[in-house]
Amino acid sequence: MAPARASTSWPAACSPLLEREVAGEPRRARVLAAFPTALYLHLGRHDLVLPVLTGDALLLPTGLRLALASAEVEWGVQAGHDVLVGDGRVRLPGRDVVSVRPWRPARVTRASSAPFASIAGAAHILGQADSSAVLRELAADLTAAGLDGRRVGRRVGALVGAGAGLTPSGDDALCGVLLALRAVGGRVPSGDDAAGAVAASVRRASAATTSLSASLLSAASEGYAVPEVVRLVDEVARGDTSAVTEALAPVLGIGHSSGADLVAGLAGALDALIPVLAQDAGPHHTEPEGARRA
Amino acid sequence: MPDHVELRRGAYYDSVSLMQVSRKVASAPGVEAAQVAMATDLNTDVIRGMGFAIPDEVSPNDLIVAIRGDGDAVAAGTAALDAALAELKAAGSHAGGFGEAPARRTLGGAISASEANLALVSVPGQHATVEALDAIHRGVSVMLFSDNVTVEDEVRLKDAAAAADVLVMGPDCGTAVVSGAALGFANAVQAGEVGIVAASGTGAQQVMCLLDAAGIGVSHCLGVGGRDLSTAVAGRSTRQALAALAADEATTSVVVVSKPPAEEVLADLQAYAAGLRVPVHWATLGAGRPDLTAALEEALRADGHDVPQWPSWTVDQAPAASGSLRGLFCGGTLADEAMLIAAGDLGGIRSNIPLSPELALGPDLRDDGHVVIDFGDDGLTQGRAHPMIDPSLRLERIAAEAKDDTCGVLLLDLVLGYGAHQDPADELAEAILEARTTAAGSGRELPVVVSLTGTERDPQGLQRCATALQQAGASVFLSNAQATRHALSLLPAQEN
Repeated sequence: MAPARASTSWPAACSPLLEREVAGEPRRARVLAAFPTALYLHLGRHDLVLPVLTGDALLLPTGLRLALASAEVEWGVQAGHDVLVGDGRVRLPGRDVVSVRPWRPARVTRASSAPFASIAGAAHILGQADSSAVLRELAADLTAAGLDGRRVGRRVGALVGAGAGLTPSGDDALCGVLLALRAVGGRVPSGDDAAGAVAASVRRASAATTSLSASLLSAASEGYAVPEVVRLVDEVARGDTSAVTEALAPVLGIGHSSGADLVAGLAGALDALIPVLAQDAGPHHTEPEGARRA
Repeated sequence: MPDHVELRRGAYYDSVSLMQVSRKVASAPGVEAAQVAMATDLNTDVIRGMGFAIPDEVSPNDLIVAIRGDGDAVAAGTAALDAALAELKAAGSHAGGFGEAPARRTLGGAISASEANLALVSVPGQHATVEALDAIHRGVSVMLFSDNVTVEDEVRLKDAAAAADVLVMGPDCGTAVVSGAALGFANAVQAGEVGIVAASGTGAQQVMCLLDAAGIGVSHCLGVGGRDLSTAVAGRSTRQALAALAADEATTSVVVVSKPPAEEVLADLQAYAAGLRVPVHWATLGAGRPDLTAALEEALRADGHDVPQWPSWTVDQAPAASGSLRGLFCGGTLADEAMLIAAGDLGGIRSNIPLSPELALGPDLRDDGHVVIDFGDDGLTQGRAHPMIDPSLRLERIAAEAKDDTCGVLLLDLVLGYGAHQDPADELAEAILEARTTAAGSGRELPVVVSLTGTERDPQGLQRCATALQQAGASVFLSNAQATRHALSLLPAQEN
C-alpha cells in the first residue's frame, strides 16, 4: 500500500503523561530513532521522550497514537533530525501529527485485596517463566531493602542501564519492581515507603540509561506500562492463577528479552513481598469472616 | 594494536540481540575483543574497563561499537557487525518490539507487507476458502494445495479470481512451476517455451519430463485442480490459465493435461483456445483419446519438433506363465492412463479409482483379476503422507503380490522431483528384488515394469534411479504409456 502522503495532517490520540509537552509552547525535539511503528522524539530533558506510534505499535504509555498502521505511514525524518513539538501537534516534513483527543494508558491497580496465598500462587507461576535468575535475585534484594527501610540507591544503580539494549535488562527488571510495589505494596506497612524510595532512586539514576528507557521507568513509577504488562500485574495482584498463565505469554513476547526481564523483576519483588504479606496476614486475617460471626 | 570505537545513532536493538551481535563481532577473524551495546553508564564503564577510549560526546542514546584488532580485524569485525544487524532486521527482532511492525497475522496482511504476487494456501480444507479469498481480494493468484474444498466454494473462488483477473490453481493442486519456481511436487525442468495447464498433478509431471527428454523447456506449469474440467466447475481456471499463458511472452505453445474431462467443457475450452495467439494442444485422457505420450508426440510434431526415442532401461524378461496385471501406482493420472490403455486389451480393470463404478474394488482392495490401485487416492492417504513421500503401504502390497499366484505382472510408477521422497529408488529396487526372489521361491517368474517420471536435474537423478531399478530386474520407461504396453506384453498369451 502506498504511504499516506495525500493528507497534510494525521489525527492522533495523546497520552495524558505527555499532554502538557504536546500542548505547550512549540519546542525543538530531536529524533532519537525512526522505526516503521514508532518515532522517538527527545524533548530535551533526558527522560522526556515522546513516542509517536502507529496503530500496530507496542502501546507505550507515553505514546501519541495514530490510527494508521505502519504500512500506511512514512515519517519523512531520520535519527538526528529536528522536528517541532507543541501547540497540540508534531510537525513533520509535509504533514503534522495532530493531537485530537486524549487516550487513557493502562495503569496498575493499587492495593490488591486478594489473600496472600493466592498472590503467592500467582507469583509461583511467574517464577516458572524462562527469565533471568540473577535479575530476579537483584530485584528481590532491592525490594527487601526497600521494605526494611534500608538504602536502595546502590542497588538501583546496579540495575539502571545494565544490559546492552534499547531498554536495558536492568531497567526492565526495575519496571517490574516498581509495578509490583504499586500493585501489592500498599498491603504491607512499609510498602509505600519502599515504592517511593525506589522511584526516587530511579529518578536520580535515570541519566545513566537510554532516554526511552528512562521515560518508561518514570511511567512505571506512576504505575503506567504497556497494556499487556498491566494486565499481568493486575492478575497477579488478584491472585488468579489461570488468568496469570494467560497473561504471561504476551508479556514474554515483548522484545527479545524485555518482557522476560520485566517478569524477572516482578517475580523478584514478589519474592520479597510475599513473606511480609504472610506475616501481615496472620492467623486471624486468614480466618473466614463467617467463622468469627459464629 | 589500534582500537576502533564508533557511535551509531538511532540504532536501537534489545539486550539479548546485542549480546548475540557482540559475540559474532568478537569471533570475526583477528578480533581480540569487541563489545556492542547502548552507551549507558554501566556499559561505557565496562568498555572503558576493557581499555577502550570512549569519545566525550557519547550519550546513553548512542549504540557504541568497540572492536580491538589490526586493520583487517576491524574490517572483519565491522563487516560481521553489519551482517549481524542486517540479520536481526531481517528476522524482525530489530528494536525488539519497540519499533518494527509486528509479524503479519493474516494472509492478506502478509501479501500487503511483502508485495507478493502469488499465495500458496495449504491449510485444512474447511479454512482454505477464506484464506484463498483473502489473497484474491488483495489481487494475487493462489496455489490452493488444500483438498476437501467443496465444489461450491471452488466455483465461488474461481469466479472471484476471474473478476480480479488472477488465477486459482487448485484446490488439491499439488504441482506447479511458475517462472522456474517449483511449487509442491514438481520436477526440475529446463526453462523454455511450452506452457502447461494441468488438471492433473502426476499427468503434468509426466508431460514436463517427456518435454525435458525431448530437449524442450517449460515456461510455466499452472495447475488448475483435478475438478476444473468437470461440468460443475466448467474449466473456469483452465480458461484463466490459458489467457495468462497466451499473454506471456515466453510461451509459444500450450499443452493442457487432464484426467477424463466433461465433453461439453472440453468443447467450450477448445473453442475458446482457438481464438488465442498461441497453439493449444490437448492431452486429455479418456476412452478413445490418445494417451499422454501420444498426445504430446502429436503436439511436438505440430510445433515443428522432432519426436525422440523416449528413454527406457529394459531387461530381458520372460512373459509371466500365468496371472493378471497388478498396477500399484502413486500417481492418480498415471493409474488412470494405465487403466485406459490396458482396458483396450484386458477389458474391465478393478480399481479403487475405477473407470466405471461397477469395477470398484472392495475395502480390502483385493481381486484375483486385473487390478490397478492408486495409493495416492484420498481414501488411502488419511492419517498418512502421500506415497510419493511415505511409500510403506505400497511396499507392503508389493510384498503381498509376490506371494500371490494370481499376480502375473507388476506395473509400478515412481515419480521423482521436488517434494517427493529424497531417495525412493533404492527402497523400491530392494522391494522389487525381494518380490522377484519370493516369486521365484514358489517357482514363478514375476516380471516387473516401472514407469519412472523424472529428469536428470531432479534431486534424485533420473539415470541413477533408473539404473537401480533396472539392476533389481525391472524394465523402466520414462513414458507411462510405454511402460503399460510393455507390462501388457508380459502377461500370459491368453490374457492378451
